[in-house]
Amino acid sequence: MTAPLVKAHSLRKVYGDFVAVDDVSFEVAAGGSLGIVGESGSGKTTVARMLVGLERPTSGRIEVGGQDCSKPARNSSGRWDRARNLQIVFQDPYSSLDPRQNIGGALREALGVAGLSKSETQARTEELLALVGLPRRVLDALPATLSGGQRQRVAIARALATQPRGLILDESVAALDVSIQAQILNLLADIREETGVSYVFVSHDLAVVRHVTDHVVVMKSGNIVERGETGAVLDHPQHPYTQMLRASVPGPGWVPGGGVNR
Amino acid sequence: MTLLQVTDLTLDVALPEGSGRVLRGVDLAVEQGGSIGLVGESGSGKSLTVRSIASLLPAGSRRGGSITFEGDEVLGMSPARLRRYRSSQLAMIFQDPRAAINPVRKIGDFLTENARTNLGWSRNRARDRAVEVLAEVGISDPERRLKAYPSELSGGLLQRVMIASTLLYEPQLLLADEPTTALDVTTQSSVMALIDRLRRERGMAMVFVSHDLELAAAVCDTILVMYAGRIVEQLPAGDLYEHSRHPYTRALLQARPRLDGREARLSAIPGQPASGLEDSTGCAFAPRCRFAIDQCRAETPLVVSVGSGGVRCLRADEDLWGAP
Repeated sequence: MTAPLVKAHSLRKVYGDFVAVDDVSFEVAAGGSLGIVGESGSGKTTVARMLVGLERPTSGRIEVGGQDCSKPARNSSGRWDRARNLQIVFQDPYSSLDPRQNIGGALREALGVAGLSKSETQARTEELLALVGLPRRVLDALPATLSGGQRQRVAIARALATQPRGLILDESVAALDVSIQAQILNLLADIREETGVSYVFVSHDLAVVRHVTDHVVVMKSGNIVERGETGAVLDHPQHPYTQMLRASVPGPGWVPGGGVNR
Repeated sequence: MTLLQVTDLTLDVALPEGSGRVLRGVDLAVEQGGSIGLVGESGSGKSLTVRSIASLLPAGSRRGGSITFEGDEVLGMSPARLRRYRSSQLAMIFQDPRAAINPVRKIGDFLTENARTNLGWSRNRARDRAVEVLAEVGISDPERRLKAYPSELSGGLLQRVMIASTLLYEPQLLLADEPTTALDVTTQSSVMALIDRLRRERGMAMVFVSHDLELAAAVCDTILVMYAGRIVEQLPAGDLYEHSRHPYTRALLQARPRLDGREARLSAIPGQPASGLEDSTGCAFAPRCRFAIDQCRAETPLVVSVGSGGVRCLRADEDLWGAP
């Protein structure tokens, strides 16, 4: 087995007196897909933000591709190295794109970091659009003229611009209609197969997590309460909290309030 | 007995470029104490149907067809009758309790406002009843909560306060528009259990709006699936998984990833959800439907009765899903 892409060791994040994340450790295999599951306040998004450097851990260590990423990069080449390792896609495609920048501009800006020539940038832009299944004409479009699903495709294309080794997907399909959500989930599976990129998939939706991840950690109040292969954890949850999460998902025979029947 | 009857409801809303039709002939009925689930994706018209029932429509919109409550036409109600209808016969719960509750007034003010201003209750009577209903929805220390501001409560607690506000009087119909969409799944489960119990105890009817077919099927008697401003399928909730017939209903069920196993690929529906605004000849779902034939694009399907439900599909009688 190859070395893991991400190693998080004993991560802790404290805001004032509040411990958001406490002693969280996990690894993401190169080319693997890890789900981080939990509810509001579980600390799952804080972990995602620490991985890409949007938050600094109070203590603990993050290694990405063998490099220590627990502290901010010292210079632009350090930042560029990190940008090539991990990128993030947020939940809300309405607020994560600049409303005044057209799609071509958004992609070129992300590519610009790579120092490509003009023709290389053009070729790569078209490659990215093809990868996420968008027509060329969206290059001139502003985000406001695109649907939620199209915007999320743009956000994924932008995140892939630097050819990162891993994508952090923070509730990236939660705001989409069911029919569009299925399209994006299929797209993510295709991209992973085609590029070998790793995923860290942060979500409250157990069915979605089952579909896109190999391994999962379940977080509650800043701690990991259960971990394992996704199928095993969801079919035979051991921790009472995981069992309760599982029992809260509606489906055939389900009754609200804990009566479990599936 | 039928409590609410909606017949051939149409709605045109004002748009920058003129007006546009968003509801294209909605028919539905709610029996006394019954519950229906309106399910669909963005733009299907489910929320506007509910807002039409409450006569809370966007400025500049024009409604056609008829909505009757206990036989009274809602559009023809006098201002006094309309106030009585909204303040004592209807109750409403929305998706985001934080947007529906005034953030600068205390919970107690929010709970008692309707009873004091519209029902003419005294301060003490309203306050005592507010304490009772908070306890009834499972909020501990209700006396203290009355003095709290909305920002001091979590989303789940605040939604319970919303539900409590509907219990203060005895409404006959609860309009619940995505009441748990903003909540965590475990909170959703307990809030839905609460709504379900209170509704049954009081014989309160419900129109439940959701994008989540499985949730709606768990708490409603009847499911109505909406697409592009029309109801495309109506069926008993218990028939949803085994006996739904409209290609859109089936496609929605299949598009969700499964919790108990993993398919290699999801059956995504191509294209994007259409709204009523897109004026289409023929079936509005035809461009996305894997079973569409030429006739589907030429002819708007009428409702065909199937079992105890109805389907708007030209091919409703065929066994589309039987073949592998």
